[in-house]
Amino acid sequence: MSLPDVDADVLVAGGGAAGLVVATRLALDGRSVTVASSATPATLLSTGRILLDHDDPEAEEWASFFLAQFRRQGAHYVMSKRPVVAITNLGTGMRQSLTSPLFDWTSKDRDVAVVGLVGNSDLDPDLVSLEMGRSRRAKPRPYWFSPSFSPELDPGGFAEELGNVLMNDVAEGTVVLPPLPHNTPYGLLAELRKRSGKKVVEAATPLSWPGRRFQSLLEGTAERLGVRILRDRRLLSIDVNGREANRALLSSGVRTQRATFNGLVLATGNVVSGGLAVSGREVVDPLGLFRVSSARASGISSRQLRATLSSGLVTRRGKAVTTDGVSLRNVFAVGSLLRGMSYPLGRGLGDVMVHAWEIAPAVEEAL
Amino acid sequence: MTSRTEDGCIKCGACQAACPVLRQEGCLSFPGPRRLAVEAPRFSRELASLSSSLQMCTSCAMCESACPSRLPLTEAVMRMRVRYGARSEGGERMISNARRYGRTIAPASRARAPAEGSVLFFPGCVGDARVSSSVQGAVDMLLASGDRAFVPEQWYCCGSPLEKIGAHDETKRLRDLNAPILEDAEEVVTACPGCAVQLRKASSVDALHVLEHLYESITPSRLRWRSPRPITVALHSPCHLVRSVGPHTMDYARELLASVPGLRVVDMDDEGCCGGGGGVASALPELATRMARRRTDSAARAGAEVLLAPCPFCVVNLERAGGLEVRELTAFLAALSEHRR
Repeated sequence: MSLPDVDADVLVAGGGAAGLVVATRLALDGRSVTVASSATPATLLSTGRILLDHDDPEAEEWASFFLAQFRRQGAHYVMSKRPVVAITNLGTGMRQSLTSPLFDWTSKDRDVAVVGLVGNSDLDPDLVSLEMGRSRRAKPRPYWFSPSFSPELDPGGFAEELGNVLMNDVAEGTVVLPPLPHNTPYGLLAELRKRSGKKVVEAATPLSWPGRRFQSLLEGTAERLGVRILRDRRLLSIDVNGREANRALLSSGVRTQRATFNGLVLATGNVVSGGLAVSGREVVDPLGLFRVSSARASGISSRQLRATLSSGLVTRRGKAVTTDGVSLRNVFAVGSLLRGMSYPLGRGLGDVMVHAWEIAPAVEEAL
Repeated sequence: MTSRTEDGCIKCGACQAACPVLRQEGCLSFPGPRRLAVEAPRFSRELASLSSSLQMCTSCAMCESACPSRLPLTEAVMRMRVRYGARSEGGERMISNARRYGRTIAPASRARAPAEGSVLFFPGCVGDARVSSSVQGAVDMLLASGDRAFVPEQWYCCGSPLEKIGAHDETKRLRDLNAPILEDAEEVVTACPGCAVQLRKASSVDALHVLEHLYESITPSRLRWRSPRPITVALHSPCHLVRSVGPHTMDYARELLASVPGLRVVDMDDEGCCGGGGGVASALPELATRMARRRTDSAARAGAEVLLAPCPFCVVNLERAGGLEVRELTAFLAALSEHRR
């Protein structure tokens, strides 16, 4: 028994950074777009750090559009002059665990306070100070603060109290806070900066939240433009007719739902996000009808891991190629689903998003 | 021997961050899904100390939704529980009730409904015995909107709670008893998310949650509402409805509510599990109550006068918290329906 059909100009399979960026650009041009997202995109687990190529006009275009959208939603971010390499939270060790997407530790950092919040076990200021002193020769000073207000439930009270404490009782000019809960309002860090007159940043730990925030900023941008996001839907199968695909089957819990479309964008991510299930050089369903190859990845010593992580869909001018060697007229692939675009090869969110941004006009052309 | 769950974990911690029991109780009382589902099976020496925390999982499946490797964590916890955890007193009571009545709770008075028709309404043990308004409300609404709805004279537990505590023989016995009853109906509809999923999975019956039936077969535009006084409600998202029956159900619930004049739905700042599932309500009622209070507090903070839940089991547990009116969604809608008999 199926659910009512979904009908859109474009169906995007995958609701991470790649899928949402391509969906947003298509919606900007007035196309009806539905995004089917299966579960947790890898974007959600990232530190929200983006590496952009400063000489790339497409990257500049992406940034000038999205950063304005993020600002409108109250996001706080820093654009550094030099490229910043994206670090994901997956498998991080101690050193990466204590970095912030908004702040880099250097040996000169003597003007930094690490403020622990009692009740928030994600960041221990004493441990951070010790570790930073040992590994980076930085000299942050540890503080503990016991808030009377919850940042989630009473952000106003929290900001006022902590803002005053930071202004009056903390001598340093830069303050590192533990990761704040993900339903903390976006404007809170900016508010704390304003109240305290200090640079306030949020640390990223393996259980932290910048990736969640980044994900919800991308979702917010897409939804504002009318993109319909179907969450917890899985792509079960794609019907291919000759050189075209116009129907796919999704599942919502125990029921199925047929989707019809003029264009399909695959943005299901690589192995880690569960989209591209690879066994050796073969893709396992639901994308089993596409051809896969591996990129060179000399940095990974395990052969098996290398084969898996560097595998990706073969595309011709952005279009997915089937195992029979046919490139489909209206099926595109973006993001870490492509070979060489996955995290362990040193690429990151920036590449994925700029690529997705570039592909959108080609998708429109195929409609 | 290791399983896909143990080998597939990438140690990202997303499940730990998503777990509502861990958030409520803290890591000193509850080690979280990763420890129970992934690490415990590897380090069997520690199992003895984990058996009590295994009882704390509400099987809400938020860990599973958060898992980037899509590991079946809830199932793994339930398996661990059956293998190592002692069965709770509540579990034993369910089994003895099942043997005696064919239901996990002793049957209550029957709903006013025809005994024959084409749309079979499956009351489910909790709806029948604890939230009869949800059964009566659903039947009334289906009849009023022209369905030939009926409740069969005899029906048995769908088996969902029994399967979760490892009572496989009893689950199978009841499934076989239910089979001829369900077979004859053109459609099977239930207000209980647990029953809907179990009937689909184990009995291969295309059971619909009543929200799905109301939305897809009757459609909101055909429903007529009395104009009540303006009211503000919050909508609870039952775990087994959202993550097992399917996330589309909550879209339906919101659209149905939007068609009621004078009714406003407010968003809660803290969405999550009612705390009653997975046998927690019977094994650890204090924990279930603390979790429920989180929900009702959040609804009250949002300014809701009533908290609505499209699941009879959630209603029973949320009512433990006290302080805020909790209603089963279908029963609530039936009371506002113009066609009320």
